[in-house]
Amino acid sequence: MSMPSWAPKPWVLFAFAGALVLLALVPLVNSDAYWHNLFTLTFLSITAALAWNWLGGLLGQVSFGHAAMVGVGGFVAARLQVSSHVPMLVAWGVGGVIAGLYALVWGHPTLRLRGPYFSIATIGVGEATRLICTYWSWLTGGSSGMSIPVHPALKFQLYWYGLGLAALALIASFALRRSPLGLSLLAIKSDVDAAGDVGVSSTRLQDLVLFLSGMTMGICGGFYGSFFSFIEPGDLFGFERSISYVLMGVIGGIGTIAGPALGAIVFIVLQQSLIAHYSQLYLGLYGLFLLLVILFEPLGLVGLALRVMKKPIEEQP
Amino acid sequence: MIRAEGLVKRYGGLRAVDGVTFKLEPGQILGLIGPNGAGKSTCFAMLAGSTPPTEGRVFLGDEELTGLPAFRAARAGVVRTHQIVRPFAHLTLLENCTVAAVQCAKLGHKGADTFAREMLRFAGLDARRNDLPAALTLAGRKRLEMARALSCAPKVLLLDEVIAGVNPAEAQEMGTLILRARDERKVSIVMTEHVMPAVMRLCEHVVVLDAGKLIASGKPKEVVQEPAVIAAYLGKARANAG
Repeated sequence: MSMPSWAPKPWVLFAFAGALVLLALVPLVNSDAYWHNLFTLTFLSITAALAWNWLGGLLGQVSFGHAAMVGVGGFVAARLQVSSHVPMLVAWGVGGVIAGLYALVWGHPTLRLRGPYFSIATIGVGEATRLICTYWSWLTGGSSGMSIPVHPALKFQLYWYGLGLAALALIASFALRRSPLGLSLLAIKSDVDAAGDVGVSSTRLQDLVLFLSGMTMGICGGFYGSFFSFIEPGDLFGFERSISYVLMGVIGGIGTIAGPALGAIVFIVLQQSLIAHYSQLYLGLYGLFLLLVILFEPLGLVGLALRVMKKPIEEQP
Repeated sequence: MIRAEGLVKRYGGLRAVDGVTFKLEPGQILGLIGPNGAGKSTCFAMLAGSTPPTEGRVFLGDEELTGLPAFRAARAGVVRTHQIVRPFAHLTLLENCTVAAVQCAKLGHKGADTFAREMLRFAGLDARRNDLPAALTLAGRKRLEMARALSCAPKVLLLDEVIAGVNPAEAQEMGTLILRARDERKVSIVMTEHVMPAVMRLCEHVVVLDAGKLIASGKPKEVVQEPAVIAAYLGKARANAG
C-alpha cells in the first residue's frame, strides 16, 4: 500500500490545479463585466451548494432553509462594515461565525428529526428568520435593504476571493468525504441508531457539520453583500434562494463530492441565459430537471457521468 | 466482565423484563435464551445502552454503565450486533468497519483502516472490502455485523441472533467464527439464539428467560432438562407428561 486509499488520484490533483490557474488568469485576459460577474456569481453558488451538501448529502438532512444563514451572515457582515467600519474580511468571518451559531440554535433541536420531518422544520425556520429580520430594520434596513460601499477596484478583485472560496469549499468537501468525520456522517445517514452502537456520537457530529455548513453559508452572505453593494432581506433570506441550493445539490448529485459544484454551474448558466427572455420559464425548467434526476438518475450529473464512463456507482469522484 | 443486577424494563403496565440478574465471566460465552417475547432483546438493549432500564444496574468490571447512551457503552467496551442486520448502506464494507474503529476504538484514520481490514479478514470478508453491503448475502451481512462490532475492539460482544436465518453450513461457520472471536480477539460474549444446537455447541452457561423473568441458569445440557424450561418452551401439559 504505497498511497493511502483516501488520498486523491494524481490526475484529479493536476486537473484541479490546472483549472484553478486557468480561472485565475481569466480576468487578466478578458475584463468584460458580464463574464466577470457571471463567473464570480458561479463561484459563490458553488461554495454555497457544496456547504449545503455537507448537511444534505453527507448527513442526509435536506435543508430548505439554508438562505437563513446566508441572510444572517450577509446582514451581520454588512452592518459591521457600514456602522462600525470593520474591515471586509473580518466582517465576513464574524458574519460566518454568527450564522454558524444561529444554525446551531435552531438546528441542535431540529436535527433530532430525520428525513422529511427535518426538511419541513427547515422551511419554517427559513420563513420565520426572513420575517423577523425584515422587521428588524436596525440590522437589515427593513424591506428597503441596505447599501454597502465597496471600492470598484476591490469589487474587481472579488473574482479571486470567490475563486479562492470555491476552491477551499471543494477541498473541504473532498477532505470531509474521505475523512473519518465524513464516514461517520454517512454512517449516521445510513442508520443513526446502528451508528450509535459502534460509538458514533451523532448529536455532536451533526452539530459540528451544521455549524460548518452554516458558517460557510454566512461567509457567502457577506461576500454577496460586498459584491452587489446592496442587499435586502426578501432576496437574501428568500425561499427561492433556499430552494436553489437544494436544486444545485440534487441536479449535480446529492452526497457526491463535486456534484453540487457542477449543479451550481448548470443552475447559474441556465438562470443567466433564460431569465432575461423567459423569466417565468426557467423555474419550470428547473422543475423538469428535478423530475428527470429523481426519476432516472438519483446521483444527478455525477451519476450520469459515471454511467457514461461505465464505472461502478460506489466510486464516486 | 458484565454484570446485570435486578434489571427491570416496564412499558406502561407491561414488565418486559422483570428483575433479571446475571453475570458474564471473562472469556465466557453466555447464552441468553427463552421463547419469543421472553425479554431477551430488551435485556440486550439495556446492556448496550440502546434503552435505559426502569430499575436495576449494569456494570462492566467496576465501571457502572447504567443509563449511558449507546455510543458511550460502546466506547466503554460493550458492543452489540443486531438481529435484523443494520449495515451502513452508503459505505463500503471497509468503511463500515473503519467508522467503528475510529469512533469506538479511537484509532487514527490510518490505524483504523488497518485494524478494520484485519477484522474484515478475520470475518472472511477481506476480498469484498470495497463492495457495498447490498452486494452481500444475508450470511455475509451477518459476518459484516460481527466484523464491524469487532472493529470497536470490544471487551464484551452482545450477539443478537447472529445464527438464526442462515443455512446449516453457514451456521456452522458462524459458530466457528464466534469461538474464534472469543479465543483470538479475547472478547467475552453474550448471545441470544433460537437455534438450540448452536447454543449447545457454543455456550458454557445459559440463562433462560420467560415472560421477563429469569427461570433457570446453568450449564446448557442441565438447563434444558429442567421442568420450568421445558414448560416455557413447550407448555405445561407436555412438561407434566415428560
